[in-house]
Amino acid sequence: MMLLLWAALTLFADPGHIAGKVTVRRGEVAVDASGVVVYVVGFSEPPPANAAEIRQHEKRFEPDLLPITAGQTVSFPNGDPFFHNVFSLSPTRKFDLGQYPRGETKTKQFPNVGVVEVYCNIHPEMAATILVLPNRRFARAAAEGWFRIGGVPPGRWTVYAYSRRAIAPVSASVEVRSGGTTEVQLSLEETRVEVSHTNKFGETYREPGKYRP
Amino acid sequence: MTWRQRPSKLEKSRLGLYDALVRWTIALAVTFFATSAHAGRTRFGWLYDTETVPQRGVELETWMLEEDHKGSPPVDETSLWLAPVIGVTDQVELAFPIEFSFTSDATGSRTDLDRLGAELRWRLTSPDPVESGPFSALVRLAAKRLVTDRGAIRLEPGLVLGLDFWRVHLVADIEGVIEIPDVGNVRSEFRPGAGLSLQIAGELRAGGEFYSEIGLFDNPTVTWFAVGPVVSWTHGRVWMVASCPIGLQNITAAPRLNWAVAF
Repeated sequence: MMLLLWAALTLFADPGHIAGKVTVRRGEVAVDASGVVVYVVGFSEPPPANAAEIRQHEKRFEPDLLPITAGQTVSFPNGDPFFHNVFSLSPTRKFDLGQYPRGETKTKQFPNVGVVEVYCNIHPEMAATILVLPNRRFARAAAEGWFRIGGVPPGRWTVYAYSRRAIAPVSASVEVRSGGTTEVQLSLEETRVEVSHTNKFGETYREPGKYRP
Repeated sequence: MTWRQRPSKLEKSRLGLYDALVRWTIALAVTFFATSAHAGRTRFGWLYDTETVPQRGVELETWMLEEDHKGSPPVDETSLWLAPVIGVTDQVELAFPIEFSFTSDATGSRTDLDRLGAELRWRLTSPDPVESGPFSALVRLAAKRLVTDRGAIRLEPGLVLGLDFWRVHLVADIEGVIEIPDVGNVRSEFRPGAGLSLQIAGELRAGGEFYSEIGLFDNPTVTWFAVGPVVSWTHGRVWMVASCPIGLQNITAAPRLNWAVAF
């Protein structure tokens, strides 16, 4: 009975906000925080109907960090005038989209929560991360680190800040009140530029130019 | 004062064997648990499976198969099947097989270039197991030219049904062969089979398969049935399958080795 009452209160209570700042440091230097995604964990929501997108452009994945909701679809259009092959060996979602040329788009659904590292089998410099989250309450930080997440149901949740260049995400516990704004400060340390990875066969990529005149 | 005896030749060879076993065990463990991009493309020796090469991917596929003491009087056959397999789309692949055979019976032996042709395999469900769910299906049609009978054509239609649950992959395979010769009667075969493959560790799988070749109508083809164990393994761009069915009728054994390299 109490559980039902709590559920009803949560369902019909006005949502709150979580706002704050993420400080990103590389050594002693504060750096641009626009590569950070802040998200809330502790409750689930259905995914949006529209597909998210990671575009292949100038041998890069754009964006290189994409937060989505579990069950959502991501499209991978190729905007380069040559072939790409998008694949992932992550246990959360293994896939191989094959090779496809400019103008073609392939899609993939991500049903399970977790981190999916995405690469191109042809171009080793291409790397992206898809954060498959349990709900839609996430935001990308501004360059200065400010962020605001709306529509958060009242309750005690955990807020995470994730960067591809940090060893691990940082988190803080927050209490969200109906109609209120909860402030939180997070601090991340970026320690790496890019993680080395293998191709889809588990092999080291050929060195660029080694097999060409 | 006691001297420690030098190891005898036998002990040396045992020590060598022990070292070799340890090295091989470590090497196999490292290899089996290494990451690979896709599961075993074919997890059975004699049965077709439901996976296809990704779009614009290419595999060089090789089969080596034996049919030992088939029929009466007994005939021994060893066949070699070679083909590049091209991913046309993520669900359609095209193979161009060339088939050789060595046949030996009481009258002598011979080696032939048997057949060459094209084979289309169309997976009816998504190649992504997350999207397709537990069921998968593949239809197949091969059209081949018989080198020894230049006016003839050989058609091989087939349907493969797969079911995945837990670590298990089940397959039911219904294949047919129709040979339309230049002169004479049409020869046809029905080739039903079924198999089970269990994921042991990483991409190493083991299981069993039943396979049969049944001549239809007034067909001189020997009808045979066999059942036996099968092991499959994928590592990086290579997959391989070893199968050793034991004959239930009209054959003593039908060992088979398939492997492929992806590019």
